[in-house]
Amino acid sequence: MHELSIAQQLIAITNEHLPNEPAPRVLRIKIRLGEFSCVHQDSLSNAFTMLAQGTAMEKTELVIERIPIALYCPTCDLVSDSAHGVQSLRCPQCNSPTGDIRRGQELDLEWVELAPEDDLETQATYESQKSEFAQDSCQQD
Amino acid sequence: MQDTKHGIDGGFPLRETIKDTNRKPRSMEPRILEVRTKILKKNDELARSMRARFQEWGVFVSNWVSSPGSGKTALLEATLRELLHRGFSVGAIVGDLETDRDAMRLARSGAPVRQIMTHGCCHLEADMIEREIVHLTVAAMDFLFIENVGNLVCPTSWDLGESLRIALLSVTEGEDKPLKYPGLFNTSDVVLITKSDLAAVCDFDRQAALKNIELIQPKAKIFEVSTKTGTGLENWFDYLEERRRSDSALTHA
Repeated sequence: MHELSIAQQLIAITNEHLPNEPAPRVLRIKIRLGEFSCVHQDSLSNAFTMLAQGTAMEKTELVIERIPIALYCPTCDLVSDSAHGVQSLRCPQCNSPTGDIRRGQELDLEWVELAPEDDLETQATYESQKSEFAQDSCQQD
Repeated sequence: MQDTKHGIDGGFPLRETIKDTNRKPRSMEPRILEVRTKILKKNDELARSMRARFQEWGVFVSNWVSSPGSGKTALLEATLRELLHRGFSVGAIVGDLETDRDAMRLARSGAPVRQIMTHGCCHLEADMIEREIVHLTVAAMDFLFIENVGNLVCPTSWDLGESLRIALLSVTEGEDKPLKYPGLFNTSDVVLITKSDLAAVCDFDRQAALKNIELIQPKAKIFEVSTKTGTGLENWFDYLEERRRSDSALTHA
């Protein structure tokens, strides 16, 4: 379940890029996931959904682009798509094994899409957070 | 499953991208923030800076990865003993979900050892190592060994600042492990086939194992060892010593 750690990082990086108050609702996050990234797509989505509860990413859609594996063969001096996916890292031209993966290990955050600033749901969340905060302050007094 | 709309080179949606949020006082449209970063960037950056520190100190760091029960701790204990015997200053950091049993075992060698208990986390991360190295006099060491949590999947993506990643494959696990867990074997520099004394009992197909490793990482240096009988250990110790020498010659040239 290392997807949990990855989802934590994803949320942390997104938070760093969000403008300050009012915290906007995040509609979509686009990530690139290599076929050889050792990350299970559904586990990552589930971990993200779980960790995003109560944040600006609560209803965010993860847009996941899968990146196929490309291998470099030193014999042919050529980069080509792996013919057998993850199972055999052989050059499709000369069939010799090569562990030199040039594409397919990606685990990248591409972009974050924010709701419009006049988004009603964002404003409602913000207002409720403000009132909760006010109540908390009162109780402390 | 290529996403044709965005393209594999990380194209962005055709929607207008608003970089300068001050341009309009209030945006009535969804806004796209371009981020373009590796999700594990923080770990990668820390590992890079740690690697630079290790090289400056002249300490050769290796990260040992394998499934639980492949013989990491036994072989590491023998390695610590031998390198101490050869006059090197060595230390180890070991990760497990719970207990300090492995640290106790490794400490029998006489080397300083730190135990990381991850309490459920399935792999070690660079910041966990950084927190431990202050407790060891790493700057004065020749070798630092990191024994990762026993797991053939999760440790793969976390760089710990090591110069050498060592995967262990015990003959009792079967020869098809590299094909089942290609990510971990592909990112390893060395594969140690362990418990070789049990190969015959387990009907271990040595040729198939070597072929499977080659299919996933043809550049991997392979050693066949038995910690119990000592078979192959001298070659392994000599290799570590030689790797450290060539590494520091490269750095301090």
